[in-house]
Amino acid sequence: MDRRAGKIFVGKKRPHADAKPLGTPAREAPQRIVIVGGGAAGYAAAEMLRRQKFEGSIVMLSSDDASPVDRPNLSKDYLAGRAPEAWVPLQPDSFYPDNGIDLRLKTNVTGIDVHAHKVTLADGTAVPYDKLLLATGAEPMRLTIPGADLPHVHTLRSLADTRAIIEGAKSARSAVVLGASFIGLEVAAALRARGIEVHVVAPDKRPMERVLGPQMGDFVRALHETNGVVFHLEDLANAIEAKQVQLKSGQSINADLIVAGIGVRPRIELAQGAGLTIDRGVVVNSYLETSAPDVYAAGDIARWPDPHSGASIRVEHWVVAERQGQTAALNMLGQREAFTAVPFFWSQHYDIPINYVGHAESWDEITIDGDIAAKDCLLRYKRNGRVLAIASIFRDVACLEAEVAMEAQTAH
Amino acid sequence: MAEEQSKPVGPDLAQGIAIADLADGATVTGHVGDEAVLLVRRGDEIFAIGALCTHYNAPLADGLVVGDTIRCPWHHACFSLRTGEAVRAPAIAPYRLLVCGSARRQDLRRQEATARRR
Repeated sequence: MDRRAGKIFVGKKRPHADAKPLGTPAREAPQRIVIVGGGAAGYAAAEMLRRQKFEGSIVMLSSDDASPVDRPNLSKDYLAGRAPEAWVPLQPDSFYPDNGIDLRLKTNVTGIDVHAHKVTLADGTAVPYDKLLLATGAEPMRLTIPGADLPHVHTLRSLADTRAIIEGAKSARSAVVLGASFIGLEVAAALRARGIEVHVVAPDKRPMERVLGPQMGDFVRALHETNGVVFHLEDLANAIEAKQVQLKSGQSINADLIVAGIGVRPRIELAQGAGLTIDRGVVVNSYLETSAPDVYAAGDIARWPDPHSGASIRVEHWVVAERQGQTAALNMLGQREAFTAVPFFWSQHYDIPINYVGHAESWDEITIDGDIAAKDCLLRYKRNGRVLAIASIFRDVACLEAEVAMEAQTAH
Repeated sequence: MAEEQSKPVGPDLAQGIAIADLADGATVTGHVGDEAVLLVRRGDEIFAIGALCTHYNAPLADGLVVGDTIRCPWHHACFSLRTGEAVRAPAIAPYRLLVCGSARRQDLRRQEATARRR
């Protein structure tokens, strides 16, 4: 780009500047970093380590059989048939060897010896570490009702899960989604895009009310109903059979495909077994350090002190997990970077994205700018007059501005 | 996801535009060849950056400039205007001055991975 005679010209591609260098080198730079988990946090950490020119070894242990995937896509465009599977991997498989990342798939870690600084694998192999990142994520809650283990009953977490649902959807005429969660409703929308009749069964009075409040809950319900979804709210499934689902209300629904989206449970067994401090998740400080030296945690399992709400929170969302993985990577390299990001997630239903910034587990007031039904709105979730979170539809700049304002706001 | 790219819009930046047409704090989306390029002016500084987010190809012109960063309107990724680095997920790959508008995300990432190895 150059400027001549009051004009700006844009020329060829400019070479990339390197990532900002580390401020102060660690006194003892780690040589061996081990990451347990192949999801958002683990992947983002490994990428950031190399971006920061870390030259030691990176071993990434993943119980999944696929290399890290763009997980949000699994319940959205890929499941709906709008994105080919080629878009699902976050990187081509060659990325890992090319960048010196020893990605070991289908690898289960059975124990951590925090004193000897090593992890043990299911086959007995010991993997030593100087720094360890636990990014084991979460796993779907399983149904316990009769018929839950039938082959047409699915949960959705991995690429294999979505492939199985897509396969089932090819011959399915009617599906029941159990749970009006984000995953449940995204699955409902995706299956409608495939032309399948969809019933959503959930104990809630309104979908997503606990997170988004009654007004947005009503909107989400109406949006799905407009697209042909049938809700069975304040109801539960009692039993699943080959061709139908029996509800507690006594109703039965014909269904040849069942997807349960009834929540996830953080995978904290490894941290528990190692004796790390646990509080509905793995407790970390603002640097994402656990109670054991040189052991960090990030993503769905981590409960961290959120400076904006003043509470210790755990969040099960993609962008938070990636950003925590990045911060953990910097700190494993000797930075002292506090994790201060304001949580963010998005959820997609048909052509409507809902963006959410902040974290509100409860509120005493919701204010609404714009018109939810017109799909042009910004909601503020407040307690004692203080904005804890924002949800918006098609008000992107206002949502970004609210995020900037929330970043400047701390509880103290 | 906006995976299908439309034809380049706005002025041909290789031909130049008048500085007077770019107010302080404003952005202009134009193109160089087939590639969409966003100009951002902050005071006396002018940055020319890839116009699309490297996450899902959102138009960064619809985002927000904060200091010397620009934030994506869709999923709040954040890029340094100075270095191109994706300083906040969900974007991971840096934007480039010239982003190939017809490339799929995968191809962009592969190119980035290649560039990073050099």
